[in-house]
Amino acid sequence: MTERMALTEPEALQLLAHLAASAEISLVEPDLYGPFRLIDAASQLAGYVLQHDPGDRRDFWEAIKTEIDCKKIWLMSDRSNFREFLRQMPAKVAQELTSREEMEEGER
Amino acid sequence: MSDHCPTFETIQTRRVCRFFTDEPVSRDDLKHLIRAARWASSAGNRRIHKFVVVDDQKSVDLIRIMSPGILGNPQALIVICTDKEKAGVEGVNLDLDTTTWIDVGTASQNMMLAAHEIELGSCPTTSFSKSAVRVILNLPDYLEPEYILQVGHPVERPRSIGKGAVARLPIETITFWGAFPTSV
Repeated sequence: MTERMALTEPEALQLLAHLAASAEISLVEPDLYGPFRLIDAASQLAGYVLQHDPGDRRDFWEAIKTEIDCKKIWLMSDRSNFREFLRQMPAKVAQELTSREEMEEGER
Repeated sequence: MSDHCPTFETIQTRRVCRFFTDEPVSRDDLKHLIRAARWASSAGNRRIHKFVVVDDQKSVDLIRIMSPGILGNPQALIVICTDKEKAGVEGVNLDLDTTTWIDVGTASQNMMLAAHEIELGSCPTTSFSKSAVRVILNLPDYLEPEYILQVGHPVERPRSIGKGAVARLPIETITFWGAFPTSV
């Protein structure tokens, strides 16, 4: 599998800014906003990856970003489903990780 | 009561707008919003807040990057700051006096309604790094950034956050008339 550039240094700085600012405001915001900030940062990260041509993994990154952007705003209207979405998202990432492991195993 | 209540109609049709077109907001329009803020009620008429208007895109972008609560691309920002020197002169205890927050809210609401009336979109923001905004705007120590109003020309978007966000609570569920009955 080709290793590609995921994000540039200026993009990494923007992501750092988002995370650092999120950490600061999480000191005073409602508890559930912290998970929202993290998943929002994950969307931002996926956006950067998509800008740098993730090759044959584009579908995965697009799907992740689309799902996050669609469901993160449930925080404001449907907290039960927002929590469920947060519980499910790592499974999708884990699925991608394991499928890559299997692909790499197959290549060895 | 008259059927024609334009103020109420403005109140009722205003919505938070998070996504904006690239069209800049004119300085005349931004001044109009500040004029509206100026007419807001203020506890004791103390007027301890200042308004920092940011309409150069470079500064707007820097503040956006440091503000997780700004999800879209506002063309201008109005930062409401507490003037701590003025508060001292007025004898306001900023650690205890919650009316200062109410004043931020009334000024903000006036601006949001005025914006809506002239077909601008706006969005209140408290999720931002105060320390970062202080650096980006080179704020003097006596000005404390409390709140940011995002402003721009709204993009028409289908509401995707569910009817829960649009629905209003029935008056009966949020209102009590007169004194509560005493238990016998």
